[in-house]
Amino acid sequence: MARTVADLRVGDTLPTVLREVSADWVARDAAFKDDPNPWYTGPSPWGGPVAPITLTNADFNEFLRRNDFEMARLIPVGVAHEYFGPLPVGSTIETTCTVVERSERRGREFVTFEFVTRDEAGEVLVRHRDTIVRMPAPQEATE
Amino acid sequence: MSATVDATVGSALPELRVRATNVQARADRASEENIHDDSTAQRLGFQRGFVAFGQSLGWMSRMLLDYFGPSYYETGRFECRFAAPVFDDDDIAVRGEVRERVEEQGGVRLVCDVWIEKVDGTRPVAGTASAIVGQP
Repeated sequence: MARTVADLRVGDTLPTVLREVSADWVARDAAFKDDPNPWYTGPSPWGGPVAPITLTNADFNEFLRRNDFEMARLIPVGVAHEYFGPLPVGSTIETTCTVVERSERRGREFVTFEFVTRDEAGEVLVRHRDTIVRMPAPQEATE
Repeated sequence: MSATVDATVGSALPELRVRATNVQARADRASEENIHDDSTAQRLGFQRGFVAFGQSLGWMSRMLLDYFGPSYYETGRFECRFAAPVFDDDDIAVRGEVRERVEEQGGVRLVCDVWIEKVDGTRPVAGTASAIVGQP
């Protein structure tokens, strides 16, 4: 049976993920966000192409799916991002995931994850916190 | 208009106008009670399926990159709350305004209020964003 975010506790971590910032991933993300910036495919202020700055914004989704969590009725309610450098296309990034806050209000489970993405040298490129809520199933809803 | 070290409190960021498209509604995730799907969203008490929050982030980032330029990639900060959904075919404006100037690292961090605004004036997404300009 799949876990839900209600099973998570503050301090829990999910397995670290290594990913390539592939041209395909960047193209799909830019298309999804309707963001045609030429830096994603050609020269940029840092030399070669770089990823959209919010490339890793869906990490809560990625990490939960990778770890077989139930995804039903999850809704993002807030984010906080810090950017320290671009994600070059073709590079490899490492992202860690830690549960930093958890609460329950009116039958709704709120969880805040912190994701830290580093380059191959270990330099932090992006740190972001995502807060999501798991809505109760309609038959479980309480007010 | 791009950010400069002389930007004044109250000055507006360049506005971005888009018509939202719920691209996730077409994803085949009915078994997951996908909130981008109309029927699932309505069972949970919402009007219609949501446009993905990642799309809202993308539109806000477009405006912020247009304003701050490369510095946003290196010194940018962004936080927002999703107070209400954006729906398919909503005409929205992404707006911002300089709220504060803070000296930092030899330049000035421009702290801006940023938001998405629907035609009825409501703001489903709102928060702050900042980056340093005028660094030596």
